[in-house]
Amino acid sequence: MFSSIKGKLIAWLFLIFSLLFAAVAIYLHHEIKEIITGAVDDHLYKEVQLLKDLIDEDDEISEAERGEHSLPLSGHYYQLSSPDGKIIARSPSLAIVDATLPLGKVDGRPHFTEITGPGKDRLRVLSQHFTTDKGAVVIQAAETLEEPYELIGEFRETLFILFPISFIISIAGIVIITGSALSRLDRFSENVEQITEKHLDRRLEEAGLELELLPLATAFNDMMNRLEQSFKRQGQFLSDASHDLRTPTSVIKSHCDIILKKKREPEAYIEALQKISMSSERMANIISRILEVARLDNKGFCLARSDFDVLALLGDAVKMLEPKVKSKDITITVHGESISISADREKVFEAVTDLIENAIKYNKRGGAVNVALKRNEKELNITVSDTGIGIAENEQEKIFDRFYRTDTSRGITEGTGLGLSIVKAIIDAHGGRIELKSSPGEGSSFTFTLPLSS
Amino acid sequence: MRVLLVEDEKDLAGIIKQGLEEHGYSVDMAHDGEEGLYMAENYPVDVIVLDIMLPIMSGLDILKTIRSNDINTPVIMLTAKDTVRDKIGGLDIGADDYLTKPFDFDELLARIRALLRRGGDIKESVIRIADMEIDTARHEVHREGKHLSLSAKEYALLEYLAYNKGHVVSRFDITEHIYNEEFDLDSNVVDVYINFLRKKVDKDFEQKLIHTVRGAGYILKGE
Ligand SMILES: Nc1ncnc2c1ncn2[C@@H]1O[C@H](COP(=O)(O)OP(=O)(O)OP(=O)(O)O)[C@@H](O)[C@H]1O
Ligand SMILES: [Mg+2]
Repeated sequence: MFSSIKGKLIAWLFLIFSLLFAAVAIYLHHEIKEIITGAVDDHLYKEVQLLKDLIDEDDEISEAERGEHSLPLSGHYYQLSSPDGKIIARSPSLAIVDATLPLGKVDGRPHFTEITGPGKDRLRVLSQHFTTDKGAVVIQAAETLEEPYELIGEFRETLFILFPISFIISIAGIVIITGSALSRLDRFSENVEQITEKHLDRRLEEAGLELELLPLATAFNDMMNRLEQSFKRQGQFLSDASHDLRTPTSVIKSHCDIILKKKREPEAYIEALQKISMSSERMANIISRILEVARLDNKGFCLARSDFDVLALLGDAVKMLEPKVKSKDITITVHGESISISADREKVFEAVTDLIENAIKYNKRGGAVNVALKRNEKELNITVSDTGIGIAENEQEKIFDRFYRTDTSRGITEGTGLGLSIVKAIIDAHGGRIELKSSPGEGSSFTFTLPLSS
Repeated sequence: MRVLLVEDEKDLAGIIKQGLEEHGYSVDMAHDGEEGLYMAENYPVDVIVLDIMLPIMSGLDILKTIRSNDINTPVIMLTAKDTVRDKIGGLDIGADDYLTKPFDFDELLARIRALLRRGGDIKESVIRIADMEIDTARHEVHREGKHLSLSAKEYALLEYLAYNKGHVVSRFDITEHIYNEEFDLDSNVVDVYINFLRKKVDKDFEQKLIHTVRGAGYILKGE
């Protein structure tokens, strides 16, 4: 029961209610008793005064016999006696049952006592000692407390009926309110259960939600959006990857199918095998690029930092690409001073070679490639610029997407379209940025930064 | 029969063209969407083999455009994606068939034949005219059960006449659908080949199947 919100609320309410009721009941009970006995005491006091006045004025106390005191069971009593206990006079209500009021302590001051009276009822008694010209006299007046007690009892009963009623009403309120709020949660979990791999677009209903539940629904929906996005990205990646693998596979398959259809000259087989070899190479290239993307995407991927000289790295990259540079008759230059940095050398090398390779690949025969290294206080800049085909404005952002290749470049060379997305991932992992300036037909210039201190 | 092959992957297009030509088709090739659309709209092709992913204009867009221009040439889509959605997408806008890359070349041949038959009212891969049987899958011709050996060019001509059996085919149609751009329209190469074909198909048999329709062209028919 205490593991549910409803149970906790009810228990808490019960506790609070009981404490509150106990406090209120005790306080009111005390107050009412005070008020009632106060009134009784006042009355008794006046009565004693009256009796004293009568004694002073008259020798007879016959006056005092009148009024309600003459009724035997009125609950009002008085008694006059000498200090040694001899009764001088008493009310008919006492006389009729031949009862006396006990004297108690007798000094000059008024004393209140409570006793059990002749009718077995509780009496409050006021006794006072006076010295008159006729001698010492103890005047006592008494009144029954049954009626006030009855009143207090009634009050207590009302309280005991009121307590459970208001408690039950409150509980009902709690059950209804929490029930409606919690039924929302039930609906939430129903909705959440409906979100499966196939229905990733389902969301929690946000309209008409309680203020307290809205942030939960919003946060959940936001999370689902992010998940769906990455799910889609993965799916897209897989489908793009398989698409790109299908092309070289079908080149291989078609060559085999058609060449094997009949006996041919050896040259035909040689040509087909060359095509098949080229396609397999392309497949191998696509696969290694896909694996590289997957590796960089992996949460566990981390940089293997070491200190190295960036200018030397640029030199190595250019040297490695020499055959491609020569075959396209390209002039390549490297500018800059030697700068040491702490970074993942292998990855930075990969990024740099990818950029230079693009600058060669998408260049005109006899064009130029320039690699420049600069630094400021915080970071270093590496710029790879070329005099190649350039990239149209509307494609400049897209070329960093996985598998994206421009239509113009498709016609010129082969490629996976993964190079720049790998470059970007490497630079992002180092906390750097990459920017691109290009005008179609004139050339492009890619600049990336690496922070000097990691 | 004339096939338009729209495929941007040049190595693939090249070998498929070679394979189709070896099977008696004349093949036009386009390497991007724009060129493909132009050829589909302006060349008298009998079947179009259309890749989906193309530079400049996608295969689906080409298909949509030619169908909206009332060109009903049968189309086989080549797709590198095999999700159901891609397949249905192609068929919805009027593709007649699709093949997923990498495909079997024999499968491509079979599908092309099936589409060519669907154009006329021929249901089997064997076309029969009187006592002649043309097996379009094997490229074999029999008359009265006897095997006739034809050259590739002769076979292509006979097959074209057979697909259009009962209809007159002009010299112009023949040069366009069979001999592609190789021949000059003015040359009498068609008549030469018709003569070769007659020698092999009709000469030794009582019933003549190839008839000349003066001023119009030729017709292949049984009676
Ligand atoms: N220097 C450049 N000049 C013009 N276009 C470029 C240049 N670099 C990249 N591009 C365009 O961006 C596209 C994506 O480049 P990316 O390096 O990612 O792939 P790729 O070069 O096609 O394939 P890969 O790098 O795997 O061989 C290229 O296809 C090309 O269209
Ligand atoms: Mg590249």
